[in-house]
Amino acid sequence: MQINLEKITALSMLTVLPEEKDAIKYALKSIVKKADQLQKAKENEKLKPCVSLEALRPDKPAASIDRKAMLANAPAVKDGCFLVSPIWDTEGGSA
Amino acid sequence: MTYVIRFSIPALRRLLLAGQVSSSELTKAYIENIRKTEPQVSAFLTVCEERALQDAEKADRRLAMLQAEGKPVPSLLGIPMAVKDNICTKGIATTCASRMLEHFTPPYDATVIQKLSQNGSPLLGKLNMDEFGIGVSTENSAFFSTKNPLDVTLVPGGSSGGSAAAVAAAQAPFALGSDTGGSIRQPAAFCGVVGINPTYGRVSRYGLAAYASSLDQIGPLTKTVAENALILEAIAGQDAKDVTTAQNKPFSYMTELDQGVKGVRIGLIAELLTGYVQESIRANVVSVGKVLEKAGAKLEFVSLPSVEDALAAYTLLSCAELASNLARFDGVRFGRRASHDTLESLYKNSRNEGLGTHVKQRILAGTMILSSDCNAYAKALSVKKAVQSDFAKLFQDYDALLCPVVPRMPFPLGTKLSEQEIYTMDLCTVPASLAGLPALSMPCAWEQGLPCGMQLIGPAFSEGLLYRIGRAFERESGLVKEDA
Repeated sequence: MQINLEKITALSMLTVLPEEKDAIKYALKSIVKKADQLQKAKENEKLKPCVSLEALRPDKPAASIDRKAMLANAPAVKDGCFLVSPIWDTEGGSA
Repeated sequence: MTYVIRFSIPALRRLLLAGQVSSSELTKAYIENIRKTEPQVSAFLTVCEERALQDAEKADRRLAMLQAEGKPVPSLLGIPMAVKDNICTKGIATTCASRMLEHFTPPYDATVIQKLSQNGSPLLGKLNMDEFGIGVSTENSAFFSTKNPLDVTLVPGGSSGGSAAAVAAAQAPFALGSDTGGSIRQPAAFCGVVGINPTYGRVSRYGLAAYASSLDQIGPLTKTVAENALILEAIAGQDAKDVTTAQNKPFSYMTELDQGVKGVRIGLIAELLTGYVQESIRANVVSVGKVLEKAGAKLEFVSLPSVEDALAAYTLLSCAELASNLARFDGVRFGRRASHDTLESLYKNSRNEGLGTHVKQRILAGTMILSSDCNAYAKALSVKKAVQSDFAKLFQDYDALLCPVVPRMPFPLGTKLSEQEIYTMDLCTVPASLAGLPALSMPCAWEQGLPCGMQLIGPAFSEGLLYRIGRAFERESGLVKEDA
């Protein structure tokens, strides 16, 4: 498997600095090795898990956390909403 | 009054019930010890003295009222606690030891905090950890490293290093940690305390900052097995806010604690007693078997063939889940927001500024595993099932399994571990995590003042049996004195 660092960093919404590249490529290569190791492991698709999880709870309405308390941690708020940069330009065309 | 901080939780309860000490006095004694020892140990990210004393005063009033009315007193009323900083505490900073959440104050309590608060346990503060749980030494905290109280030149283990160190330094009678692939058990072994990774679904994860949701569990760290059983009993149980919690009711671990190990069949996992593990640790764990045999247990060597594949599968699954869980940190709703020009630079800059190098590396690895170029995720899930199957087969013939916790003794702060050394640190703890099984870590020997840990693994929801075996070992070995 080829490591496409550019694609992975874009998907992760992260930036890799030039001085970090070698260490990260090394770490990713080690993950690829582990993935290769697993390809040789025995198949065991039909086994039941040791722990069975319970069914979903009834979908009943319940009180939620107060809106103001939730927004208290937001870096920027306007009119009771989270505020972010616009993804379109203010003239109405797409950015 | 400071002498009381060395007492066990049952002994403290007796003093509280007899009116020989108040929760306020007890809480002040712990705060005093935190002040005294923190310059050396650095276990706490936040000490909430005011809140702790308010909680303690409330506990004192509640105790007086309950006693006056002749009503039962909750098991932890007035006994203070400290909590890993990835468990949400309403109104008190919860940082996950990350710059990303440096100024985050949760608007709600985790279920375990609600339970312990209702029980009457004052909150002393929040404990240091490896950032978002990623690390084996608590040196990956974005703020500072915690030191091992037994020798402050050594690491306390990780990622719940602050929790293990706080208990070992008598800064709190008990602490909560979280375990994904060994993060309670390994620091417990390094600091000479008892820690349990409960069965997946035994304890609610609501309010625990997620690392790898299919593996994460909250568990207690204490000085002794009996204390650990007491705390797990208080936090276990089904929770409507975490659908992965199990329906079966938690039973009283305390009632079967002293039933001994006569006839209990225990398997020593041969693959975890090989060259990966330091010779002295192997010898100590084998000696545990002999002590338990003397107490009436039946010991045999057994094979868990999927051990090495388990480690690879764990690495892939935990990275993949981490990448998904940490996608929420984008500078929009909470956490750090960096300066930016566009929405995309808001995401990228906030994540780059807020997340540490190790976390970023794991996110990149997880993203790669989940990308269309890589088909390893499904294979890792298949190996997880193989591990579960190997355990299930063993539990047809054995009641519990015994093995080391960590392949090596605590190492000096600042040690540059090789990639292979970091990788194999989780070798003994990961199999139980992948299978969702309970695993108890406790000291089994001391070498030149440092503890060596042993691990007991049981079938799902067999925590009571593990505590029973652990307690029998404490008694037979004489390592733990009866309730001081």
